[in-house]
Amino acid sequence: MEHAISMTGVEKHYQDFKLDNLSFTLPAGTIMGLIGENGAGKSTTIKLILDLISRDKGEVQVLGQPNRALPKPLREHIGVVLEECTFPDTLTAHHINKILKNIFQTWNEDQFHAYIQRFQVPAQKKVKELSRGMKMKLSIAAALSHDSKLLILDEATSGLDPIVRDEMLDVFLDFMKDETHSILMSSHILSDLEKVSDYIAFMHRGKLLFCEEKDALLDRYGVLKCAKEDLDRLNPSIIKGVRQHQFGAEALVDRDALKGTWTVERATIEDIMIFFAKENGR
Amino acid sequence: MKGLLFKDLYTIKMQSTFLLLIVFLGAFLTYSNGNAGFLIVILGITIPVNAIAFDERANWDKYALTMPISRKDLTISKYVLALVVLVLGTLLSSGFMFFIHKGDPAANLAMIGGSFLFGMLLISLLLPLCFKLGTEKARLFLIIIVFGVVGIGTFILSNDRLASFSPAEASLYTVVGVIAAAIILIFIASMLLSLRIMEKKEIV
Repeated sequence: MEHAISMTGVEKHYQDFKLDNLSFTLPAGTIMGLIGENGAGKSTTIKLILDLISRDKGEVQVLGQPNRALPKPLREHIGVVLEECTFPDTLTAHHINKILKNIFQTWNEDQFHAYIQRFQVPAQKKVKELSRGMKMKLSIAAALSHDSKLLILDEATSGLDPIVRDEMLDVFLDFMKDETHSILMSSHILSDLEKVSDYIAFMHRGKLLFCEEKDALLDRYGVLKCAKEDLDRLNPSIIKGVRQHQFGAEALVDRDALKGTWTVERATIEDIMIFFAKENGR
Repeated sequence: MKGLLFKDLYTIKMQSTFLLLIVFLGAFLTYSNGNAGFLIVILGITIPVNAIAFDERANWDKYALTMPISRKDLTISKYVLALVVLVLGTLLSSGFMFFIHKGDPAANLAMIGGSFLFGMLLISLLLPLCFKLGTEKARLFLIIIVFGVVGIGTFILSNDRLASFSPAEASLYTVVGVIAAAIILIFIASMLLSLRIMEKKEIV
């Protein structure tokens, strides 16, 4: 299996929104960060991958098999953490262990308890009494306590404080030590994605603007700070986006194609996302 | 499937105050009215519908379908739950009838059997509505369904009609048998309909 996920020409039409011709692959053994503004289509993409909603066009493969009617033994290997905590709110971690033990054949009770302890989730408290951070940690513990080879995380780290987020990123990197493991994670916290991702896929208004290796992206783009007039002297094809302010202008530029002596700063994923979104009409 | 039923039973256990109240009310009404059959109907409807409402609130289906669980499993588990609750309700209600009310055993059995079938008919009509419209809207239909079923039942069994229809005991058994078979068929048809609904549903 080369690809953990592959989408080819996937489309989904709603009255006021269209997911357009979406194609990308998540190579096995890598982490892909899915970024984009609210309503860009990240959650719709994840729902399409999980076959929760039907697509109008295209093909989706998960762990090397068509995602529709994915055989149950293969589903054992997919760990999912959704944006909201989806455990009935009157249950406790203790109940959840008993339920999932009867759903996953590969459920590892000891591992679940170990995670719960490590994450300091109170095992006897009802889900509704837990903070958002605790709920997410509970969901992450569950996703890691069966034989997951692919993790799909939809905003799994939002609502967690920076220290816990860092701890979770370490847990995810630990998971990646097995080179057949892969992660697709959407998040608004771009610094997290910048830390762990191998690939960045950027969605904007239902379209995939790019899906590239993170290091290549960071190498290629830079932020040029100059006077507004200076921008006119540049070849327009190397400018990927412009931000003007009172004292001058900033432009996202293709560093290799930039000739001459300019002050170019390293672009972050956040810079790249904002400049691209501006250029493509916010 | 077992995991799904476990989840439902745990969430039901958490509503134990409500359930105890119904059981006490049942015991009291059996004592005062000599009828425990309604207990089967009330439990048989509220527990499965509440279980679906809990799933809706937690968005459980969305999560469950990412696990080794199919849409078919999700649907059938609710029908199994309904049957389990109907059977447990029947046992409880029989206990009340025979130990609190006492009375004619044949009449008791007739009332319990009738209530079981009535509960089964109502839940068969309700579950597809719950899957299609959600429990919030389906509950509105509950009133219409109960009045409809009771109305039609009373119309058929009204006195003057019964007077012209005085079957021998043997054919009375046939009538009861036909009604029971019809309700079982409705239950199965309801499950098939729910499976179709869930197969196409967009889980958002």
